[in-house]
Amino acid sequence: MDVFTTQKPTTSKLFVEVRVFYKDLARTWVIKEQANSQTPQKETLKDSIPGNGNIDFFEAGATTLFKDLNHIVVVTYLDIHKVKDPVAFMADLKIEYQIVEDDDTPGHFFENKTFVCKKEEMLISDKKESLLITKVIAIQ
Amino acid sequence: MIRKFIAASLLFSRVAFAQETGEITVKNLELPSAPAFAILDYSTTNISTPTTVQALTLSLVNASSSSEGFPSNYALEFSPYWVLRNKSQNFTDYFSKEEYEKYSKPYKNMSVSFATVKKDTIQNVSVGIRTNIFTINRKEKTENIKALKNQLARFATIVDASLAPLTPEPPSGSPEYNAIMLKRMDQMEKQGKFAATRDSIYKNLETITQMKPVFSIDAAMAYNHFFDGNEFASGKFGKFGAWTTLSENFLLRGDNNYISLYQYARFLASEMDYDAVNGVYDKDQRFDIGTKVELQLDKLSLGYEYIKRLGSDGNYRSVGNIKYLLSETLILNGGFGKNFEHTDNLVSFLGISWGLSANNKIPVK
Repeated sequence: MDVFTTQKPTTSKLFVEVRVFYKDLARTWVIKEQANSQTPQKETLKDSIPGNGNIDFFEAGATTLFKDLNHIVVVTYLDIHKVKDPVAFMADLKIEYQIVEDDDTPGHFFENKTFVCKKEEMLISDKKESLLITKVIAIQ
Repeated sequence: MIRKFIAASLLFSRVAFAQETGEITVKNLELPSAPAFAILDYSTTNISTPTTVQALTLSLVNASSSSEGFPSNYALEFSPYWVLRNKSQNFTDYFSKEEYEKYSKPYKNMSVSFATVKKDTIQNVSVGIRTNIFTINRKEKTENIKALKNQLARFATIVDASLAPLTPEPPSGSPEYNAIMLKRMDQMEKQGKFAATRDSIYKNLETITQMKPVFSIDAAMAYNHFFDGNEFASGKFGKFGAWTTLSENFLLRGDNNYISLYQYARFLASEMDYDAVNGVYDKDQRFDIGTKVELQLDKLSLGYEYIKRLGSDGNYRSVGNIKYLLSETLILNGGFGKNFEHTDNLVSFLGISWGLSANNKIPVK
C-alpha cells in the first residue's frame, strides 16, 4: 500500500489522474474505499471511457473525506490476450497515478505525488488473457 | 545478399526492440516515404501515400544489386506529439476525432524525419517534416467507428459486470480480494460473449485503420546537406524542398483494394550540380508539378508517376513502381524509369525495404 500525506486537509480537495501506457483494450475504475474495515464500503468515483484505461484529472472530493477514513483505490483491467510474453510485459508495464492536494484556487499545489504500478499489485488470469492491477493509496 | 540483410535486420530488431511492449509492425506499403528521404529523388516514388503517423519508424533500404553487406540508406521518422510528450497512445486514440467526415489535426499528425543516403562518393544527410492538412473520411469509416464505439460500450458492460468493485467485499489488495478477483477474471473469460465481443472490436479496428480517406491534403518540407569523399570539411547545402500532395482514393471490391490518384507540386532549391568548368556548384531553383496513379490490391501495389519540371527544357521524371508486403516488417520495393537529370538518370531499383514501426509501445520515460 502506498501513502499520500496531506498538507492542509481541512481546506483542501484531492484530485486524481490515471495514465495507462497501453494501447489495447483497457478499463479503469477509481474507488473510494473505507479504511480499517474487513468488509469496506466501496464507491466508484470515476471510470474510464470504454476501451481506454486513462482517467483525466478529476476532483475526488474534500480531503477530510479521505484522510484516515478512506483509501483511494484504482483498479485497471487490461486485455492481454495478444501479449506473447506476459512476464516481460508485466515487468515493462507503466501506469501512473497522480494525486494532487489543492484548494482549487490559483497558486501552488499543497501536495503533488505520482505513484506507479508494481508487480505485486498485478493479478493475471489462468488463461493469461486478462491482467488486473489494483493500486491502494492510503490518505494520511 | 538479401537473405544476409534480412537476417541482419531481424537480428537488429530483436536486439533493439526485445521487449513485449515493443511491437513491430508495418502498417502500410509506403516505407520509406519520409520527406528527408524523398527530397533526394533516389526513392522509387516521389509522390507518396499519406500514412498513419507512427510514434517512431526506422527504415532501411537495400537494393538487390548492391554489393555491400549492409544497407547504406536509412530513414528515421518520429512523431513529436507521441514521442516527446509523456503520453501514451491508447486504444481510443486510433480513431479519436476521426468519426467526423472532415477533420484537420496537423499537430498530432506531424512527423519529423532524418535520412542518410550514399550515392557514389556523395554522402547525403537530410532532415524533413510532414503533416496532414485536411482529410475527408469515407462514409464507411465513420459508420464503422460508430459501430466500434457501440461494441466498446457492450464490452465495458461485460467487464463491469465481472470486475467492477462490489460491496461487501474484502479490502482491495488483500489475499482474500485477490482470490475473488482471480476467480471473477476466469469466469469472465469463459463467457462466449466476452471473447466474441473482444475479437469483433479488434477486427473492426483493423478494418478502420486500413481504410483510406476519400480525399486528403498533405504538406512536407525537407533540407539536405551533402559531403563529398568522406570529408567533413566538404559538407555544404544540397537541396531544400517544400511540397504538397493531394490524394483521392477510390475503394474497389474487397477489403483493402483501392485506385488512388495524386496531384503533386514542389518547390526545390538545389546546389548539387557541379560545374567542372568554373569549379563551382550551380545554384538552381525549380518548380515541379506531377501526378500519380496507383492500384493497390491488398498487399500488392502498382504505381506510375510523372513529374514535370517547369521552366526546364524537357526535364521530367517518369517512374513506374511496384511494392509487395512480404511480411509485417519487410516490403519488396521496385522501380524503373527516368529521373530528372539529363544524364545518369536511370531509376532502376529492386530491393527490400525494412520498416520498424514502434508505435506508442516504445518506452516513453
